[in-house]
Amino acid sequence: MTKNQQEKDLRILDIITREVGKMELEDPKPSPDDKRWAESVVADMHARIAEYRKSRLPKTVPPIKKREPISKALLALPRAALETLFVALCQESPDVQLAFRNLDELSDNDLRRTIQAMQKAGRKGPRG
Amino acid sequence: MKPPKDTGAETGQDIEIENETGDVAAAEQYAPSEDWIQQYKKQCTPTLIKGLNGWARTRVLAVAAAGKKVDDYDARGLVADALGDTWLGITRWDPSKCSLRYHLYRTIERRSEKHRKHAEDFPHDSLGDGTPESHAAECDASELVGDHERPIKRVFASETLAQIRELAGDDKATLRILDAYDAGCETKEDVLTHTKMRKATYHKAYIRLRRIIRNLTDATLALKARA
Repeated sequence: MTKNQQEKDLRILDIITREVGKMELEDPKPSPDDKRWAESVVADMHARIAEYRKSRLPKTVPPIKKREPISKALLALPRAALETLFVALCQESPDVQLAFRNLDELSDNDLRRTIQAMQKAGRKGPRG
Repeated sequence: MKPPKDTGAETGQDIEIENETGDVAAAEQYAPSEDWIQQYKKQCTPTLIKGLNGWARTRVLAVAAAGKKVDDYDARGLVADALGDTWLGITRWDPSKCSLRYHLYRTIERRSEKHRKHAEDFPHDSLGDGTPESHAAECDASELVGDHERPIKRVFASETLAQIRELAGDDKATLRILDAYDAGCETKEDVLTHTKMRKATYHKAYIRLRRIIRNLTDATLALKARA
């Protein structure tokens, strides 16, 4: 076999394997073993991703901040008085914005906490 | 496969080369963004891996034709390493510039080319599995290796191509395609013009050629127990 023919064979083999390789890439026909392997590779990568995400989380959980207790004065007020006080606070601060608007569904203690927050914020009212 | 419109994958190549020659610190400091991770996770599917493995197997066959002893682990290793090194930032992928599939396709292509060149430069590293066939091949190679006019790589390539022709048998269309390449054709268009073959005939012939290459690849890369 001549040198030229051998060079040609090398080039032809390269062309054919590339063309067939692209066909395999576009439309793979894997063996059952290749399928299992591909699934295990993806599962491993997903596990690595999950591990990496986990490693980025804060090492220590920030302490849970306890809510401020409701004042005795507000605890002593009945529902009707609380609603009257709430309306008065809203009138004093017309710009006040509340995330929860359906007051009928607000429990007594939630209403007390809302009033306390509004009073604490200098009657500017809680936002958002 | 269509390449991306810009050269994102080429940019990744430069960084990879830089890293592989010693810029380990850059890879160690690599921290992908959450957007990047989401894109990577979304595109990293079993279908992608199966396709890349098919691509890697044909590239490894080309490495085998250069004289290196290879098996299925080499093909799988190319895929797994490309995927893992992209995750680690050793080879950089920019999701806004190209798909993960194209990036990995190019990474596998570049790395298999390095293996092929190494096999050509150091043919004796690859021989010697103890079988009579291997011993005969090694003796043949020893006679040839000092002759610069006949580098060993061409012997393996010619043998592989001879096998392809033999497996094609009397498949005239496939043999015409091989003859067209032999006459200097490089692309599909070249072959169609040279052979005056219809596109459908060419396509069907390539499907048969694919089957031949697959059988040859299966035989060459058959998984063997490793020491």
